[in-house]
Amino acid sequence: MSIILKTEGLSHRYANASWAIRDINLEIEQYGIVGLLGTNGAGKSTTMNIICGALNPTAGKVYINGIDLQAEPERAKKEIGFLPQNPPLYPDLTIDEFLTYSAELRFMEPRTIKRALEEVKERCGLTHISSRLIANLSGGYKQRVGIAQAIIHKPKLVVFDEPTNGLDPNQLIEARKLIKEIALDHAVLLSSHILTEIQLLCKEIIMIEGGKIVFSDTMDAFNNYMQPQSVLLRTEIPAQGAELLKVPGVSKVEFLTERQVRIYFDGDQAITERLASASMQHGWRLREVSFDKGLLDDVFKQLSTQPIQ
Amino acid sequence: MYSNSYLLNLYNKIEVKIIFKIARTELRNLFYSPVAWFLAIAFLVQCAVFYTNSLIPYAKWQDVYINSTPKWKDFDSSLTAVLFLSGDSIISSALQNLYLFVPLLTMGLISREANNGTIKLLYSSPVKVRHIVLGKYLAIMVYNMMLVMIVGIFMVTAFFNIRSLDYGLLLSAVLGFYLLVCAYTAIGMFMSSLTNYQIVSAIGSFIIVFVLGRIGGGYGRNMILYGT
Repeated sequence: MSIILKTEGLSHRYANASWAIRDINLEIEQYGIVGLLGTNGAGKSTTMNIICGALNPTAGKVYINGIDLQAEPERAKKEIGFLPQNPPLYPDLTIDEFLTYSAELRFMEPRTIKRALEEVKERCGLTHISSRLIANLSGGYKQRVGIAQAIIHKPKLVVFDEPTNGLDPNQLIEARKLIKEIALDHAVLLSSHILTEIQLLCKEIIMIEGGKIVFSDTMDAFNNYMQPQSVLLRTEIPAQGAELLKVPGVSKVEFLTERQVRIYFDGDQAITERLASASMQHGWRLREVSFDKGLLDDVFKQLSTQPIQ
Repeated sequence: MYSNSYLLNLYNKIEVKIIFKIARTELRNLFYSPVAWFLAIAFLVQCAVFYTNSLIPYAKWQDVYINSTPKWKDFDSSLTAVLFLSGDSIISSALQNLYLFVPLLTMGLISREANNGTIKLLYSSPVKVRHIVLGKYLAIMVYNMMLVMIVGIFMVTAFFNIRSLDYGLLLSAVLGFYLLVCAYTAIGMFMSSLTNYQIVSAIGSFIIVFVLGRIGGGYGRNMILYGT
């Protein structure tokens, strides 16, 4: 598979500040979603802005489809679709006008624009409101127009900077579905600070912390790496800590409330079964037992203290 | 060498097209918001007031002269020049007051893009910065044409009211007016690119245009007008 995006030693510092990102090396393939994960201020947006030419890097190079972004920006940028954190919309235009304009900005052939417009509106569910002013749209629809704008010219690389920010649960599901569809024929680079979202969508994950890549591998490798270390147990009758500790494999017990316990264990995932039988035995009336995926902060702490892979 | 190849490039069809498209969208933005309309209406009212201000006294004098001096034929200065170019007439007053309009018109040209975040759309598109700048300037030049047309309304009325109108004078005045407005809006657009705050860019261009509008005023202007 050919490489669509490649960065070499990408570094950036804002005026008089410390390095926002330092020595970022990425390679993204032709199809599928690559997740860029990081806490706020980790350098996700800076990286994406540089990749899309909205910001000039202090050092380093970006290659889009093998074309150097700095040397030949016009050619390279034809292959990029970018949705920044705030969708770049003109509030005084209608959806049709805005999308046509964004197609024209990408030097699309006038003959093909009309068809591309219908197609992208269909895809993003905007057909029925296409003559509305953007200023009057709800947040979810604005986000969709933002996504439509990024894919109308069928770029090889689509970059979404926190595309699901501020959406309600229904819109969230729709947006994720849409992004998955887009990834079928585009390479998608997506950033988020929500681990579960990345886990749901991406085939590869790149984790940034403090401007540096701390983890970069496939999702499967990440899941293996991120083995749950604890389970959450909810019972009707308060469980006894001493009895819990007797269950094989349990290393530590932490009571969150009287009826909810976080149980740390080592390795073996059959722990749930043993906990269930312990509950039966002592009559705690088990209501829920689930793997605690771990707070993102813990993951970061763990990763950022380890050597870069 | 750069300017040569640049001019050649400008004839490149695609480049010209994209400039026109950016200009068209900018004009849409301008006219879909009330700002452009309000400014045009305010300018129209202002011009009307200036025009009648200089017209009425002359009409009265003419009346008085005709009644009191049977042999009186005409004023011995050019009526066109007096009505359109003298100190408190329509074009010189409009020029004096341009500093009220230009900053409001140009303050958002570029800083609005930065504020909306739409600058990222432009930066991530394969357009060059000069396309954006030229497109936006073209749009504002078209708007300036509208201001000229407003002044033109009064010239058309003058055509019906003044016998043996001095066309050359009027046309050169209009050309001068248009070029000056274009120069001012270029300054305003530059100020707009310096800051993300629309108000700051408005104040900046306000000051510059105000100062420039008063350079060479007074004595110099009278010299040109009355040939002394």
